[in-house]
Amino acid sequence: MIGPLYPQGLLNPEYNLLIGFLIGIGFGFLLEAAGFTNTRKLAGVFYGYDATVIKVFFTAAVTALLGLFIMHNMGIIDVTLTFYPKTFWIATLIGGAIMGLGFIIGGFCPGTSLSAAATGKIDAWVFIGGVMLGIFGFIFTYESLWEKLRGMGKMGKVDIAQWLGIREGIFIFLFVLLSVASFYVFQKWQDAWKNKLSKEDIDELGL
Amino acid sequence: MKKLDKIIIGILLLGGFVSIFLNDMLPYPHIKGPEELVYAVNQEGRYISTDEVAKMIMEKDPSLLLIDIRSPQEYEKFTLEGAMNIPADSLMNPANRDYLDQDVYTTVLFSNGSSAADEAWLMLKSYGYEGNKVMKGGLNEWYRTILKPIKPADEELTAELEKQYLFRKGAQIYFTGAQIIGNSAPKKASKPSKPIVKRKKKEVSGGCG
Amino acid sequence: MKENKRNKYMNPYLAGFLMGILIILAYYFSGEGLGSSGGYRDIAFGTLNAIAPDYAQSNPFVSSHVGEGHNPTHTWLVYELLGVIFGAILSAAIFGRLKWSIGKAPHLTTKKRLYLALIGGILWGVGTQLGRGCTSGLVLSGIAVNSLSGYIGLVAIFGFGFIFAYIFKNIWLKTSK
Repeated sequence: MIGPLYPQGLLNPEYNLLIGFLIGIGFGFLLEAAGFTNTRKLAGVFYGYDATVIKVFFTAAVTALLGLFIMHNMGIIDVTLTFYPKTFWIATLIGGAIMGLGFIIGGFCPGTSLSAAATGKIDAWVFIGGVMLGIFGFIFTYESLWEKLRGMGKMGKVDIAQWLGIREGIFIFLFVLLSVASFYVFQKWQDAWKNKLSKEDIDELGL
Repeated sequence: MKKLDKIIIGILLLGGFVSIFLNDMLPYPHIKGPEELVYAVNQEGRYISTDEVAKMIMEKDPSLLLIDIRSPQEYEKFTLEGAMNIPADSLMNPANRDYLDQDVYTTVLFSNGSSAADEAWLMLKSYGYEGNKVMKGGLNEWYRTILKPIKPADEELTAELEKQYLFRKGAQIYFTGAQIIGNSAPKKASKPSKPIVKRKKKEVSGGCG
Repeated sequence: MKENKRNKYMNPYLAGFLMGILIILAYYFSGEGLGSSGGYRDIAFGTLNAIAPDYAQSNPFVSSHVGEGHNPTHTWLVYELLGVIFGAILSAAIFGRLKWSIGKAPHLTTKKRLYLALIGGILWGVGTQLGRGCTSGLVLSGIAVNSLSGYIGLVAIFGFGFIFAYIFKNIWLKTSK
């Protein structure tokens, strides 16, 4: 069957939710197993002492991108029928800046905080409380503060390669090279830190 | 570097290399086989006449969405009132899907003649895009029937033709700015801002949006 | 033995590779990308709808998700988040990491860490709703389908992250005075 199944009505809603649950289990397991519940490992990417986040994140992104691109070309899944995020570049840029600040101050992102909270990290519980407060605050002030800003920079569904005016395959190839280069750079950075970290630190980070 | 690291990075690089030779991610065609194609081509229902379009414009019908598929240069020179410009070569751009594949508006494609708009319609159809129509005869027909309507000869003047002619005369006044002389250049159509189209089709609610 | 296992993490490339496969499966079966903040938002909508349905109906941000035929908490993302909870507990149990603790740099006081976690959370709550997604739903799933917005999110979150990391480096690093 040509995917995606659910949007084409080829999968009944109950199974769809069950699949969401199962995929969530895998996602949560991998986040925990890779060390993403350890907030110091997460922050490490920004200071260079821990390259784990870069490696996991870019490997996941590149694997999914390559997999879907190749499958689309083989006629297995029509990617244009999937959840394809619309671009609102101004809103996303400003929202991203707020998230970047939240990352440094809070030490988590929403997905990692949930895994961390589930495994007993008290600070993650507090963080999740903050996220909910933030969302409610956003809802209550939506009309007065955010409505206009959220719609700014509307571009619709934009593919980055088409936007740049190059062939998709070329862009993807370049992105793979960039990712692999970032693995190398961040590994070097992490190695440079190794002498400066205490033994307890290295132990805790599992480096 | 561990062996496993090398294997996985190797897979990624190989995949990236293979990607160079693959095609862009465009929607899958929905028409399979020549029979379906012929059937689609012969659907007369895809046409809408210049009279009908003129009427909808004059009535300011909110469900009308005119799409000029000619080049931006031609669009700048002259287009229909309220039309937006999606050149034929960017029809398949995913950004335009919201306009070309929906069931809220009557989307009318037009070019100078019929054939370019017909081809565009067929391509959209073959990718499963629904809800589009073609303005029969294109802008040439528009010019002939609306901007410069010719009075039918007396011997063939039926009540119906006369009614049509009177309508066209009215439309001519509307579109050219009330000149009875009839040889003035059509007034420049006001350029619309892109209307916001809400697709009614089943869509995935999506990630974090 | 247990002590050793606790600080052993999975090979990062393998974890990433498997995560990528999960994203592909999510897209193939459900047409959805992995997301987190969308699930939080759905839960917020559901809560609001239960407490103050009239307000939920009148708020333009909420109204399209509640009301007849909509169950804001019965969504793919909420079920996925439930799975995340189970998956994380499973992994932590296997590796012996299931215990109450607070993650922070050693020099930071617990009280300070909790305050910062709260503020950081609030910023994420606002940022995700404004920017339409978080690191998983916007960036990871966006890149998976080569959407421009995913790359903008990547550059914004990590780019500004590096700038703010420099400004607030005393949260995570012991700066010598």
